[in-house]
Amino acid sequence: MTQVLSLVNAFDAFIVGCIDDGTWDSINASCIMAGWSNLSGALTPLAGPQPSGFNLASGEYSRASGLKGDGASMYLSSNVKANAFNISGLHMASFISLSGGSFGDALGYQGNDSLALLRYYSTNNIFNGYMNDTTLTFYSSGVAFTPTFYGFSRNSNTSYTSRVLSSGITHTTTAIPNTPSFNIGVGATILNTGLITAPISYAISFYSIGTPLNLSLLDNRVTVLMSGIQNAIP
Amino acid sequence: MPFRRTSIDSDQRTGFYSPKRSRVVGSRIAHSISPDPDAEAYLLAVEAADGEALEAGVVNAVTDFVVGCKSDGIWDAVKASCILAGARTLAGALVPLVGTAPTNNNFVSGDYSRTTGLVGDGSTKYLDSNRAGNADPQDNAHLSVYITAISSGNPGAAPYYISSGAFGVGSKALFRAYQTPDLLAHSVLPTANTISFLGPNPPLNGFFGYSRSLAASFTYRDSGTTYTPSTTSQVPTSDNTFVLARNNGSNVAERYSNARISFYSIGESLDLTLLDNRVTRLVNEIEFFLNTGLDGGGYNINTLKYVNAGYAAGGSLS
Repeated sequence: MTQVLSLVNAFDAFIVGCIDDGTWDSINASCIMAGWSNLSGALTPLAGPQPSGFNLASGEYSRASGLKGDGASMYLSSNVKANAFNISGLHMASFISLSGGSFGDALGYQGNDSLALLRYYSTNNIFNGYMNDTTLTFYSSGVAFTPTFYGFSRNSNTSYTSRVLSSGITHTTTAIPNTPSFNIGVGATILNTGLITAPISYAISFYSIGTPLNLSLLDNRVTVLMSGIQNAIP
Repeated sequence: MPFRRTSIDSDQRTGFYSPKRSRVVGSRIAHSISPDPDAEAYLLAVEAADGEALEAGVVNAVTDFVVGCKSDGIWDAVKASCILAGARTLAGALVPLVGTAPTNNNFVSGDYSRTTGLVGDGSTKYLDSNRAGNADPQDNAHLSVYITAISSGNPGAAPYYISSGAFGVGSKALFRAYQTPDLLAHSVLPTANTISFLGPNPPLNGFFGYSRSLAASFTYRDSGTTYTPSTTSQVPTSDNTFVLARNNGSNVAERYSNARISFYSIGESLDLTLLDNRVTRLVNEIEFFLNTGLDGGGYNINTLKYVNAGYAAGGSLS
């Protein structure tokens, strides 16, 4: 009972906190991929559509650390189309709970004209990616890994913000119009061919996709949520 | 005094039966904590029908609902209603929250779930609410249901969630339209034989209702959105209102539904958004308690829905 109570309290504090922060309505698709007893619970959408799993194995899910990729074929389709959002009106965020493998994309899509992805190189702790543009941008490099919120948010044609390892940066890049009608990937980038690239070997325990929001506020809520879940699981 | 539990205190959250909040009635223990006399009377009747006391989590959810509806000013408009969840047995579920008890036609205990309600079979099973369609004034009426599984499949005709009148003059109904070969959106007969359907297809589970307080227009709420079409009212039919089927005009059931519902109400006009919020909270608090053993009263509705969805998917937090 204590575990159930602790987990429910953690979920509730996150939801109420996001509502209080004004970020809740910007979370259009999300899963808390930790705390639940199995993958079925972990893939229950907190908001938006249910994701579709591809090549998932139950052994890759941990209640404490979430969903660990196989670095090959395992990923989720968020079932949110990349063109569901304005080119300068998107956030994507994740929580990386365990390092592992060489590199992979926590979330991503790659269209004909631009792309958006959150890439993490476990081997040298580099976080970089694209945000509806074609400019490879570094978000963090060489800082020792600890479990971290990792996301970006664009609400301007000329700049966007990223946040990882508790550090936020504003980047000046121009959003390039794109009309990809395919889904945003979780644990890999989905290409316009329908194939994937950069499947993760590390573990993620949260993702959200939606309209722009304050990343610092979301980081605080997600980090507290993950801490609460970790503390609840024996 | 409002019956609220705002603390995060774990003792209050667990919702297990608390002896100090009980009393002995005859040879059994019954709850006695509800500060609301209408909730208290209903809960005691359910316990009598069940032959067993209800858990505090269920008692609190029902009390919250009744007190909340009174606070919203919509309670008096509910003239006939059943909460088809929470009770331990089908007999308990058919105890009326308000008004006359429905007549059970062919439902058996296996058709009832404490968490998700009563399911029809699309062929033989329905409730007669025993409330006539003209018991409420022509321009002062509502119908509502809470759907946990929409009507589905290919029944060959429109299946009805709740209905008085068979598409004749003055019909009142909530149903799912049908056009060969498929079911369509949720649809309304708003004290008139003119159909309205504006919601999504397929519809979503959840609250579905209509209310009329004007001769020229009415409101209906489906899948979380409220619509206000202009349809002139007609003199309501006197047919009894049936649940999970349509009354053919001669008190014979037809157009059965295979949907599952956990609440219905019949009565005078009211604010559908307010009723939706209360009913959605009620059914989710009950389901949450039965899933987790925790009292849902202090939690955000989004938390209740999320946790219930996780359990429905086969997950657990234990």
